[in-house]
Amino acid sequence: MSSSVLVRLTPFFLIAFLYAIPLYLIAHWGHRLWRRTGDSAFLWMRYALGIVPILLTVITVAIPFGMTGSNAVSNVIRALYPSIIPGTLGFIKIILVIVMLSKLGQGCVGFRELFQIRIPNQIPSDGLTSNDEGGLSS
Amino acid sequence: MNPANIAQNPVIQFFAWLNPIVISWIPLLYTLWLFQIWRRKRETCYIWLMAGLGLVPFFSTILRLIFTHFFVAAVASGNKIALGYVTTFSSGMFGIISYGCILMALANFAGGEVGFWDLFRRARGPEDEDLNEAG
Repeated sequence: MSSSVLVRLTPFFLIAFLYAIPLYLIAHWGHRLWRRTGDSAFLWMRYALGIVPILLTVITVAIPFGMTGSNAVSNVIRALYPSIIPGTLGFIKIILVIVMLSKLGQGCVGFRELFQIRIPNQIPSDGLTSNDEGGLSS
Repeated sequence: MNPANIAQNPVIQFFAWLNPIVISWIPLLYTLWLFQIWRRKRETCYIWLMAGLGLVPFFSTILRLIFTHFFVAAVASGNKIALGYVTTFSSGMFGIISYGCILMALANFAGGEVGFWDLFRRARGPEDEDLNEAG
């Protein structure tokens, strides 16, 4: 590998490395929170905001350097890779984040509740809704 | 077929514009969701997560939409270095702000039970074992 190629590649790998540090911290933090609290929202967070974005970053940086050919296929893949590969992993990430959000705050806001116009007032700190309280009292 | 021709292809340009428009709805959904959770729980961590997952990526996407014009122009002119740096700078700057907000959210989750420095302590401390037994 010539020195000019190394100079050209260094910023990309440096950025990938700098990106991977906070992603690893997020994944590690999510895992620790899950272990302490047992809340599965943090496990989903670990994969949605940590592991999948790390894979996404590595693949996004690695693919263009794997396609070094100058034929038509290589050019098309180089032109389209920012949409296809990050798009697929990004879609998986979006699904994981949506599952994570549905579990955050002990699942106090589900997906369908987002589209309800009237929103119930703040729930008590013990996590019980007004219906639960009624059920307990009866 | 060279990259300049591909970049000037109307289909590619259509998706280059459509992609950020479609994607910008996702951070808005996250923002709405986290705002609803915050309304019910009133915990700071959800505001941080709303910023990190919702508002910052939303404005990043909108700015990227505006800069798409310049990206396509850079590819068409064969200026790959400009393209690379503009892409990494625009994504990187907002990415770092976004990560900062998410890390702040994680520091505040569960009443700040796992602090930043706790991450570098031994993974299986006695505190963890107690909590696992209790859980």
